[in-house]
Amino acid sequence: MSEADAGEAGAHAGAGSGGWPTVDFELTVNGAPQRVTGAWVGENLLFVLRERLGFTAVKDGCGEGECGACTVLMEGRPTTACLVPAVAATGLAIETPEVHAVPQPDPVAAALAVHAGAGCGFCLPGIGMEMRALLAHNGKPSAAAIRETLSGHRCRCLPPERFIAATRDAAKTLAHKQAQARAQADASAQDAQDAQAERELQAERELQAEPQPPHESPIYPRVPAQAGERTQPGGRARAGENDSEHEQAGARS
Amino acid sequence: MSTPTSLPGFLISEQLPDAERGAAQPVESELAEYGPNLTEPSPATGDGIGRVVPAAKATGRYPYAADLGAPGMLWAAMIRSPHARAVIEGCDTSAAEAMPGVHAVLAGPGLGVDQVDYLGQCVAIAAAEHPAIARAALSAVVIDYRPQEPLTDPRQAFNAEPIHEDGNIAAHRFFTTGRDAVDRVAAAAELRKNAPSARRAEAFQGLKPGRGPGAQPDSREPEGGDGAQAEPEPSRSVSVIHGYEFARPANWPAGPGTVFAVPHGDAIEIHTLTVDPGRDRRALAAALGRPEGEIRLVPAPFTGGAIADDADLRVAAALLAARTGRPVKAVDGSVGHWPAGTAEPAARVHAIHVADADGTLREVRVELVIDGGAEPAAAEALLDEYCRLAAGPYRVPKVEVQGWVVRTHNPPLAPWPGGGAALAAVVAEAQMDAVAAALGVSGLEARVKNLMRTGDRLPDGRKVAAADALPELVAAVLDASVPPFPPGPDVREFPGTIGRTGEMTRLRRGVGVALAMVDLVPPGLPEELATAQVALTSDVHGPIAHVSTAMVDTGAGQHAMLRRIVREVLGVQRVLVRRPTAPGALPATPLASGRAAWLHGMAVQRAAQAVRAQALEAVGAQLAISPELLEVRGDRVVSYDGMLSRPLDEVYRAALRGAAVYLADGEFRVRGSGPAQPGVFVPEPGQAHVAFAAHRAVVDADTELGLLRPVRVTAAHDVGRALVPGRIEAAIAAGVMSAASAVFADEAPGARAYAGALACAQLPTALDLPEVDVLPPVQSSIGDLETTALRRRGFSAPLPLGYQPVGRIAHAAAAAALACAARDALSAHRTAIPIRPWETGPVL
Amino acid sequence: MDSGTAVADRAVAFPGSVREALDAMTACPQATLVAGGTEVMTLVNSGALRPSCLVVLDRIEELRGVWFGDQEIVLGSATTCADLMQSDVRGVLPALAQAARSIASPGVRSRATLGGNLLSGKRPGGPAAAAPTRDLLTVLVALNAVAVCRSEQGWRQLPVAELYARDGGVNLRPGELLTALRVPTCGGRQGFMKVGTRAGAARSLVTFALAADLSARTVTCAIGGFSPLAVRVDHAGQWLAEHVDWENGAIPDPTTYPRFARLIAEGLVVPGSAGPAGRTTVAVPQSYREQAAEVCARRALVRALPPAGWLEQVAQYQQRAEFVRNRARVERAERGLPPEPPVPGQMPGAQPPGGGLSRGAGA
Repeated sequence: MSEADAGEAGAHAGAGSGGWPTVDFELTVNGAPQRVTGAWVGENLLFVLRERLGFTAVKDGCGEGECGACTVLMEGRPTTACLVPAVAATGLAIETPEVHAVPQPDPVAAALAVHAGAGCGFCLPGIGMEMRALLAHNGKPSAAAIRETLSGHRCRCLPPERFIAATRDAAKTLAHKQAQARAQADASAQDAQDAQAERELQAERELQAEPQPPHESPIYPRVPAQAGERTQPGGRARAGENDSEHEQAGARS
Repeated sequence: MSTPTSLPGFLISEQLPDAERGAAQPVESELAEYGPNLTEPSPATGDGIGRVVPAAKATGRYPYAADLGAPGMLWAAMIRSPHARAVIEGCDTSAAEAMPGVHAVLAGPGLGVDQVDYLGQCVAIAAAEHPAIARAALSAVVIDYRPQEPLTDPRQAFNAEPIHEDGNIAAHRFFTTGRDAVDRVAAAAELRKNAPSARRAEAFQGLKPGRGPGAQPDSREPEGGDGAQAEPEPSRSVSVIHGYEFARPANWPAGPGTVFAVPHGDAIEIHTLTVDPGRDRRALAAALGRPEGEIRLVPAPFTGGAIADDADLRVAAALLAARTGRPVKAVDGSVGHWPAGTAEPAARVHAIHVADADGTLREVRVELVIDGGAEPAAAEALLDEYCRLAAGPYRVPKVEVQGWVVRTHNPPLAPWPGGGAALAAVVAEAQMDAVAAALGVSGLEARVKNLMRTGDRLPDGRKVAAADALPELVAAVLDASVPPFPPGPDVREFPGTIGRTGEMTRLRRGVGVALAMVDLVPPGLPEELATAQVALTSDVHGPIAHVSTAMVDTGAGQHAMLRRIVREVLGVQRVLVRRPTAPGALPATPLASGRAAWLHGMAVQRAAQAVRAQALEAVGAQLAISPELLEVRGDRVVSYDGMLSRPLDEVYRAALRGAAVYLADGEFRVRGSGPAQPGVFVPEPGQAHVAFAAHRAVVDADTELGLLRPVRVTAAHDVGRALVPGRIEAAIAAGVMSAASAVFADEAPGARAYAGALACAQLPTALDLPEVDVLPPVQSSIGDLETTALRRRGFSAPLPLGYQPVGRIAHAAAAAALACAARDALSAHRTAIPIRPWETGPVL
Repeated sequence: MDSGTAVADRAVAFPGSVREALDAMTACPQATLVAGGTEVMTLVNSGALRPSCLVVLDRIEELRGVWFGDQEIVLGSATTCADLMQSDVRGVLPALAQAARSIASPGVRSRATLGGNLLSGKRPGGPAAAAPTRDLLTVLVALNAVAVCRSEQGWRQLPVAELYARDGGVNLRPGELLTALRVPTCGGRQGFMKVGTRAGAARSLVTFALAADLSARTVTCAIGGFSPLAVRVDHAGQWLAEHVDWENGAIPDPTTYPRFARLIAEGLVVPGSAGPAGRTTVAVPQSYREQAAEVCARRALVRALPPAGWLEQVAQYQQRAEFVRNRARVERAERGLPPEPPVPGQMPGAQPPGGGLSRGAGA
């Protein structure tokens, strides 16, 4: 995590000609393995996806992680691909916007096309991936939560209200589809069990979407708990659980 | 790599990539959607954009210039000068050229650059097989600079040594009304291009932002005058003097830009962002030293960053393509390319407003200096526009405005968002608030009392043709709802949002109302021309119109507007808009932003009307009426008085039998002044066509920390005529967003060492942007100039096509409103834009 | 070389444990260590850094994660900011979760690591760069965290503030890894505040972290953002300890708040001009930073230890506000209006044909 000296490569250079070591690796993109050979070790994931593998739906906007046009999902988390060393992404599940285009655009892309199709469109694939991740964790995000999620994306053509409307639209469609799927699943006993578990999970998520840590609200400080209170001892944070980015400060959602 | 290089010669404006990303075929997107049923575009999008293209954009399959590729493609990189002024004595590219994978390196004299005239001037370019290799090659280039003393403070430009043979003052404007106007102007003619008196230079030296608000009781003599005495003013009047500073707009693109250049023998094909392909082609040909015919500029789909690619980038890509004989892709990432910018404000304005005790404005005096950088020619239009609008939409008996554009060693001024209208609006509205505070009345009262009326004069003496919409706009903006206060318990609704500093007891809300105006046809305008071609024919599905236009669709709906015009004139639903095949086929002069849509729309309308006359000739003969007097209304062809009509599809079936083609050219010219001629629009002498807008902004401030959060901007516009209504809201919202970034985003110059240029720009994020509430626009121009019904309704002569600009005036009004609201919230008359939390300390 | 997938040559290493990471760093001393890569890749993308060998640290299980013990919490150095925002951590170390939330964007937070934030900037002997703000450091300094470092010579534990030189550079020895941060558990309330150049994720001008431990009867606070270091103002905490009613977790004398804040601001001895790594990068006057620190201190203290008797008032106020909101809702329902006033710009479904404007409903 610290910078190394930017000097000439030593004897450890790889196959490349002096100073440009290359690596070969395999990425898992949209569920399918993709072999990459002869890539310079310093290439970022965005460059490899676009130029070497042809996934041009991921856009290069700034190269510094500020514009969000390069957002892909890595292990289900939105990630700016321009800041990921390509070789470091081996073995991680990468999802690009292309997978949601066939056979037809998914609800998020359809909602974006309707509400936010009036601009140049460069930001849409990145915002689409971010919204898919958001809706997977929070079925009914508030306007403030959507704005906070969008704060990593740069759209010069359209105001955030368009994307708030698109996200709400997509959320409705997804909830409808989930309800349909749930109704079908209820038909069989095994599926009924799963539905019960999912409802419990949903209830737990909703519970967790209303946290009460101290200093959440600027005007309603929490009534003090017992001194020395802490959470359960032992145990380790579960990687992959990511509902904390979109919490609210108060009861209003 | 994706699609092959050169797109076929006949480029459709909206192109859908093939599913297999094979050869880019021209896809008739409109037909693909309509099919034989000729349905309207989906009603959910009143934007007129259809469904196919937005779906392509949302799924990432829309081909931008960056998505193009070619076998053997090379990558280009540039480096820019770290010195503002230096002589390049020599450069050594041998090490760079020896690096494996590098195909070409051009630096310093090899690039034609012997002298560095501004910070950030491109000094070396390289092409290599990998973008990292290209950048590494450039860092191996050794350039010998002999730095010289640069001129970076525009105020020093008056007294400093001339840095160019034309002198340091590039432009000068002086307007005055009042009794001794003629003498003043004569005296000012001598001032043109001469250094002003030492007193004036001193006056600007002493310009400090944030001087005490309100009246100046100690002296009524405004500083910096040219020695003429002020008229004796009645007692108990108030004069308000302030100096305003505006930071320069960012020089680097706020978004991506990619230029893709492909050599074809002697010719070069360049895919780049451009709104004016003709002008950019000429500029590129001049820069490359080649005849225009060898350069083919293909406008690439817009990427939301800038209106046009960096000219340096285009030249670099073209030169390297020519030198290496291979396709070259140049990506202008913002990371690490521009050196730290100068902190000097780009514009300084010194304004004096004098008003009676009862609130009537008596006098306005404005002086301003604009830093044009190393290429100040572009800033002259900015100065001109400012000076003509300096007093704002108010009636003032006596106005004196004087401004200069000076040349320095700073980078050339990037196109100012909102133009001179934005500068003028911010200053004028700030002064109105200051006058109101000095008089003890509300800002609204002061504005309403002095509101401009039709026939009032601008500082340059012209009369305003139509100001009737102003009171209606102000009333509409005041009637609109206000966001709830205090903001909710969600911490993101407080200033400081996720920084969690929000404290309800330290929160103050400020409201600002601002009026802005934009001059549509300035008198100094040289002739501007646009041409178009319309063809009417039919195919297996029915009548279809083909429009050929030089206008580029930036994604803001320009082609949707043209389609709407043609549908209205011809009554044909299926319209295809294309760019011309041969470069230079449709001549158009360089069009300033704000007028391009108007001129091209008029040209298309004229062409469509000519085609209509041709196609309806037979019907005209039948009805014994000249075909020019026939219109299409709904599904019938109707004579102008509505007496005779025929069904439209019948007429077209007959006229288009046998695949007949009707083809016509249309042309529209505009001149700022001069004799009226047929086919040229010249405003009446002494008449000014001005568009107005009123915005109200609500800004919350943390009174101790000075943090600001814009909450909502309510916009009321007079749009003339809404051809594609769904686009108006997007255009206004885009203007408001750019205004929010101009007023609140402060670049951190020193932070460049740590983060890239985009991070340094600190542009507002979705959490910083206000909600935009667009009120139903006033449409004061319905119809065409020839319609007498308009005159009967009391509208004074509108521009043909009922044109009013929307985006620029939205930026101007929103910037002024946001600044006024911020001042109200902070209870301090901040005069430096962008408004920074830490200036002049906290207020309680 | 350990990696689960095929890596052809030695230009990259995927160590699976700290031991293997140290071996890789010994084998290639000029290797570039990459955990999340959010800082390194910015430099690589701009051409400022040309890595010859990468050592990828984000596969090491020991470095990723948060362990909750009875006495302390151990944060792995490769834990991402997104992981630090999860509910487990947020419940125990809310200040750290709040600080992580204020960094960049969700896309960056899923890769940016705790160690990367702490070690951003110049290393002794490394290339000159950066004047980072290290937001997470402010919280860890306020929480008395201990940094655990590992090298070939063995383990080293030191208070996190000693990880840095006076000029803001990092004091890690060559071949040394920062593996974990140990934070003693503290009950009571913590908070983090950040004053930045814009409202969304921004470069910090001042960051402030405060921890009030009711059982240990201490208040600690740290200020950062004005330089790469975070400063603890201990004497203010000591002074305050005498003025707090620890049983109720409240402060009886309301003048305590401005006095505490004044102590904080006066204690802010800024090492701002000591060397390139310590130079402030935003042209903001020092007086503003001091004033912002004072304001943040006062507000944080009010939230952590409210005035005595205030809580009852606040509870009443909350009840009343809820009542007023419910009554307004009922009244609106009676009039047939929607329960909440509409926000402009939202399209209520399909627009009418002909492209009506999406006008926000007026008053």
